[in-house]
Amino acid sequence: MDAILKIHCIAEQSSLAGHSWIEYCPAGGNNRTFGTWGNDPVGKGNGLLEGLELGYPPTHSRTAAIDANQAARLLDVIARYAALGNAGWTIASPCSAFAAEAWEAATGERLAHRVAGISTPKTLAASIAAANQQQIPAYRNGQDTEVQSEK
Amino acid sequence: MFFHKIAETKDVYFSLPEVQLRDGKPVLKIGGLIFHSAIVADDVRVIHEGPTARILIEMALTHPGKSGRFEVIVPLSDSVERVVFGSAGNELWNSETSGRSTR
Repeated sequence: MDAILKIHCIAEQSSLAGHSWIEYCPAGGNNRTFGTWGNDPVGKGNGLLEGLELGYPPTHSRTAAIDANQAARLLDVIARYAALGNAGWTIASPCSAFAAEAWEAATGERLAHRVAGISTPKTLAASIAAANQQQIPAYRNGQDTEVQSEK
Repeated sequence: MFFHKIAETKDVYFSLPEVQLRDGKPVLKIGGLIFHSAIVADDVRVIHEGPTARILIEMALTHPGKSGRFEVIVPLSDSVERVVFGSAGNELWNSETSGRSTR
């Protein structure tokens, strides 16, 4: 185990509200959070930002231990989103799309986050709750376990 | 898509409130970020209700020119005893526990 990876959500009744992000905790290092934003949160546009979520309590979380290869896949996704700039966040693929994609790249676990093609924190939070209820471990490298949220 | 709602404290990641002097008069500076990644602070108002100053932030779906980050300056005249936030009126500051000192 080289790091702990967490996926976090704040779920709200409205599908337009809420936020999703990932937290990467390398062994012996500082915790880092990554999330995509569409509300220009630091006055430099939208897209992937690091560190804004540190200390903010989520409503839903899931945790996995990851090895160096898994961490490398995670960092690839982060680098790809960083390169997208403003296009890293869209109304159809907002923070929840990034968080779910980063989580899947590292853990192999697919968490459902879209309804009718639109990704939302609310749907992702329901998937996290469902996965946690099933007590499916989220660390199997390369396994492709899709967790469907309750509709 | 339509989203208009008054922000409550649970919607915001606040930075620490700070009493400052502006032109020799005490003000309370409160900043924060709407913690919904698709939502901006569309309109920010301070309403005075007797000894209470209430901060009301109207949230809206993101659009150009607006940000989720906001900063509010509340003048702390002698009549202001507390500063509350949102419709629920959760207290952010009061003169008894926080004082008006800029130290």
